[in-house]
Amino acid sequence: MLQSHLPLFLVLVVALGLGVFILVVSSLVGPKRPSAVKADAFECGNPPSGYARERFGVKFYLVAILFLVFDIEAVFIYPWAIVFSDSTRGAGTLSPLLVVVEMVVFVGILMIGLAYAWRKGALEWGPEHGKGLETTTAGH
Amino acid sequence: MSAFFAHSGLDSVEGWFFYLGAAVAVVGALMTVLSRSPLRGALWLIVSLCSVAVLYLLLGASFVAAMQVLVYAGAIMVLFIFVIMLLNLGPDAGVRPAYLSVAKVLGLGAAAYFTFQIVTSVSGGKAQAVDGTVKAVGTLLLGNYLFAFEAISVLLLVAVVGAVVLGMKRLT
Amino acid sequence: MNMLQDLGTIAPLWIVAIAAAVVLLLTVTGGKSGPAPNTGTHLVMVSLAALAAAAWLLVGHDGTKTAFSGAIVVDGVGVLFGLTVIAGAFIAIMLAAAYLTEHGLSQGEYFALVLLSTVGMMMLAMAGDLLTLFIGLETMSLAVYILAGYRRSNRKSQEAAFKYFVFGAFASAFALFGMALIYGEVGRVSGSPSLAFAAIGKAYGPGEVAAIGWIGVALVFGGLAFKIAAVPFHMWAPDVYEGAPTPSTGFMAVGVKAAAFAGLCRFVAATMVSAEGRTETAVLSIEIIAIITMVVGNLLAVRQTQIKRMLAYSSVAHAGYVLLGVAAFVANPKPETIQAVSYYLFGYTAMTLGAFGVVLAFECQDDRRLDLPISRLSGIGHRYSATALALVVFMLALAGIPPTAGFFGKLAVFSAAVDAGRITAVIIAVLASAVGAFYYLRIIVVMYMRGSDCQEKKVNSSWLAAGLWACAGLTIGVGLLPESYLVFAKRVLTGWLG
Repeated sequence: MLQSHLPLFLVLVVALGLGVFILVVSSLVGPKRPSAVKADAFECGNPPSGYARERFGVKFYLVAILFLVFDIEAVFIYPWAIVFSDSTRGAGTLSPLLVVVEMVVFVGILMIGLAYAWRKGALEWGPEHGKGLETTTAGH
Repeated sequence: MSAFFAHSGLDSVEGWFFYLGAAVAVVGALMTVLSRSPLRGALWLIVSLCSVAVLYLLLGASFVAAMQVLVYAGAIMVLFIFVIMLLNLGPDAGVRPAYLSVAKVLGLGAAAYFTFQIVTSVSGGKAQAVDGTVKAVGTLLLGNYLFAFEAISVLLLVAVVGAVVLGMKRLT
Repeated sequence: MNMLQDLGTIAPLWIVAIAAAVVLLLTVTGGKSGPAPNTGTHLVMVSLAALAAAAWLLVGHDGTKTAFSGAIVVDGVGVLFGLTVIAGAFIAIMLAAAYLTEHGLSQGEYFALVLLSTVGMMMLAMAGDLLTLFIGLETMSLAVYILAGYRRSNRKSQEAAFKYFVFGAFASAFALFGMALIYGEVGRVSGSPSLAFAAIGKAYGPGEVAAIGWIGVALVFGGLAFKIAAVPFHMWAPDVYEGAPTPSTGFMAVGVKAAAFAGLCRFVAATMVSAEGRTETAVLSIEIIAIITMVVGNLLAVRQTQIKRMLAYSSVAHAGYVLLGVAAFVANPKPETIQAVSYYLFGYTAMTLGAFGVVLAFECQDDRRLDLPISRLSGIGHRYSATALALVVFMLALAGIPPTAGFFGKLAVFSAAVDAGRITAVIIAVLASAVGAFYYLRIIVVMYMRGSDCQEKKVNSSWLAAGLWACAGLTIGVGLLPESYLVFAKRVLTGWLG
């Protein structure tokens, strides 16, 4: 069991070791000349302006949720891909056609959601876009 | 109980990995709850989630482990951190006076009882590793659990519609 | 081919799901002049047609059919409860058509969410394993959370959605944890872990299940008890019922409740009914929850001045009566008890949706105030005699007065409980219903009070009128002809538990 994940473990160890190594060596060897400018927040070279804890716009929420939904969809595609490649070689118990149809239905249902969100303007990014639920201005 | 400790698994490398992962998961979870700053709490949660992924790996459930990292430590944490930023929670947002409430006592009691029951009912037996490779899970998903697989896409469709309905800016 | 047969068996599910997709896409397809108006009869028609088709398929269903390796079981429980949630969705869409037009809210998303929620409810009613049960539960709940917050500009609607979602997420998490424990315990007892109800029944039967397995049962039970708003999981109900848009309130009061009860019936049949030596404890626990639920619900309903809050507590009380039926079923597992429970919920669907329909007609149209105090109903009996008469029918039915569906429902459930030997509980239930009669009848008295001039404006909509007619017709029709329902129920339940 552990043997099959040995490469993964090694990568983790190397990554962790490299990080620690760089930090330790640079703190040992590097010159230390702190200044007020260096201690400032880094904003792509511009002098920092405003307060860092700005409130985020709620439109990011929509993007985050849609990302989450389609991320989960993507996760389900991984096992499908393996089963499909097996079935085309006749290795699995399922026929390739069936496996394809199953995924088409799965993605198809989500495509409806994507088409809806797209046409609704949920993916638009300008200030002028976005249509809400209200068909008229009555009621609020 | 003694049977449980006899089967502690400290005689194998897997056992040591298990205790390492479990300890980091528990510490991460505790730090998540105890952190004063919500953002730090969220970052500790990533530590906890990743070490739970290690436990999944040890059980042979590599697909769930990968999903744990991709979906939980990845996508869901994005949402957590987003909500913290949306609500503009400062470093001291989580500070509450420490007091002993009925809920805390009951919660701790329930947790202790669950732990006791779980420990005693698995004691003496070894947890069996399952075939949780991506391939095995895929074969199950597209075979025996096909209905659940397709039903989940309906659930995700509801989530998309809900996000648009509740989250979209109104045009007025 | 096997797959096609399975697809035929679950046709009611995908017909409704496809209708939801069509409605959704219709709202965003439009010509160059801009998107199509997000409102219109065609959206209502597509939704109602799909529900009618699904109902027609269920009515014609015969025997027990399983599909997709046992994930879906279309049997008597699936058919009866499936028809109940379809009826609820059908009428809720009619009421919503009136409500959304009145408030200028878009219709497509609303109908699509009602239809998708109905798909989830049917999954719950037809679940063959805990996995389908959970996905159905989540699909249903997620859609209903959104429906509760559909009036985004209204603070109470936001609050309703938020409260319902947070509490609901907790309940789902507990249920899921319980399922995991059951899965493990079934594996320990029988050697192969399983989520299928058949396997769970076999493992729980011989009485070898450890305490952890019963903790799992209690957790799943608690998760479902949240959905039916049984005490002590009812805290959310009044605020959510009050804040949600009225058609959503009606839909969640009837559909969610009926679907959760269907899941509960399947769940107790697998875990408790066959369990050796544990059945009596299980019956007693459910019975105690049932009694507390009906007593608390009725007593708190008496004190309410807002009609939607009153109906919320009333729905808590009704959950108590139906739970008594579930307890009777565990004590004495007969298909007749399930028949009584499903009859009760079918009648309850008609009368509760009707009551919310009348609320919808009279409630304040101002966005800041969505309330309808009971006192504002005074005098409507003289001014709007037809609508008032409909409300009289619904109140009499909720109070359980013959010849309505409410009376025969209570009669059927209570006599099933007597059959199972739960006499004390039935006496308490009868006393609780007497308290209930007080606040239902008070509304009738207020409506016909003399000397008050009615200031209320009424929503005028043919959809609303049709919805109210349908509810009143069902309430009286099912009440006058309980036999025809029970004969049908007997036919589809033949062989169940056999």
